[in-house]
Amino acid sequence: MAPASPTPVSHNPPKQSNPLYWRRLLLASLTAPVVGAADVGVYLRLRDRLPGRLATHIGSGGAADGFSGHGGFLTTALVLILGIGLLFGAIVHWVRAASGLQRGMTAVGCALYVFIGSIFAALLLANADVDDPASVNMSGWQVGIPVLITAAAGGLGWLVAGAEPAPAPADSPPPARAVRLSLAKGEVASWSRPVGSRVLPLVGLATVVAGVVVGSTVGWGGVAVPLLLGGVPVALLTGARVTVDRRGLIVAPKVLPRPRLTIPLERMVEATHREVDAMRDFGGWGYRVTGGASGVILRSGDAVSVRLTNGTEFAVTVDDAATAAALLNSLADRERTPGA
Amino acid sequence: MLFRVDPSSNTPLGDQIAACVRGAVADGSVRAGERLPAARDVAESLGVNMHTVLRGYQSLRAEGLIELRRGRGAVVVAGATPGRARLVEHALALVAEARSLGLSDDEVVTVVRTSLSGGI
Repeated sequence: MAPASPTPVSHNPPKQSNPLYWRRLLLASLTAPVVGAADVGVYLRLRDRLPGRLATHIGSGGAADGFSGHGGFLTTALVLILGIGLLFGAIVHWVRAASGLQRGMTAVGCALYVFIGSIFAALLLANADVDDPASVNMSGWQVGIPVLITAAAGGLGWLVAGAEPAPAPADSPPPARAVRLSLAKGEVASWSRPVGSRVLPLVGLATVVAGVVVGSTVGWGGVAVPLLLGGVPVALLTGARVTVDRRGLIVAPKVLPRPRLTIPLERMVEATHREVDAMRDFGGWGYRVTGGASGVILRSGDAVSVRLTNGTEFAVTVDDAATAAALLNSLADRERTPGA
Repeated sequence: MLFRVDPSSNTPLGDQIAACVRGAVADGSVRAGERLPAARDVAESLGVNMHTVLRGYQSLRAEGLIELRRGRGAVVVAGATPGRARLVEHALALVAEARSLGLSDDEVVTVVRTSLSGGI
């Protein structure tokens, strides 16, 4: 008998099947220069009314405590906005295999450019017609309006980025070569298995401990809170339970009911299992999105791999993935075979 | 852990769920120390009542295969070896056979006791 050849996993970039890809990429990367140009416009309009040195930082009391020249101020604003524009352009391209995430990233990018842009504009307005920049102060509404504009920009970005139309549900059963698990008529099946990572909970715990140590020694003002905010989800979300049943493939955190990822059966063309190398195939651990695939990769090794109707792969690493894949194929058979 | 149940079968669903876990311990696909999915999740997944799943889990606890702890869920105990699970399966098969022959509980116990004393 010839040795079983490994399932050929496509190494060609999958065809760009996301119809909103270009719209979102343009939205994420062109909004930044537009916002930057708007800031320059505001500056040019106000230039004659601005003091020689601008108040550029407003302390917690509402009074200016940081200053710079015109050129430095504009350069900082443009570098920041355009830099973040490049970053989010790259992110939106990078997460193209996960349409919902891509939409969210487009909206977050738009909101971020507009937030930074409007804060710079508000600073310029606060500097207008003052003789001494040290007397510049900003009141609540001068910060509140940028926040409102930001929320509006995020919402608008979300709407323009658009929801991908639901792909046509798979209408034919998985191919004959796919492995199945025989189910009797009327039999209900559910497969479930926990998957953990040895590394990530320790990383999360170490981050939390570092946060507590820094907070109690240096103070809670600096990096302590970000450390805690970063460490807690890492520690809590790195154990998952993978379930396969009539609803499809479900990945949920072990200790919390949400967030939960569900791939319904009608989005699956075929399920297989394969060996995943976390670093080589997905560039790391966690919820990963790469060019043609997304997945919950908590370790290297055996993984359920599902080919989706939109041409991408969804993978989740879990032991006994072969049983899970076989059950998915059988459930898909049942759903797509009338009268079964 | 693969649960397969047939709602149209005469065997109660709780017993079918217990049999799935027992079988998984017996064939080594679920090992000591492993945590079973929460009863609520199994119920939601199979589309059955949560109390049905709990009934199954309780008989597994009575058989000494799992431990039920508040907040920690159902965990396969250290002593739940494949052999132990198979022994429980044999006992259940013995009872089923005796019932189909119309034996009373006392008669079944007598049969077991006799084989115990005869086996030494």
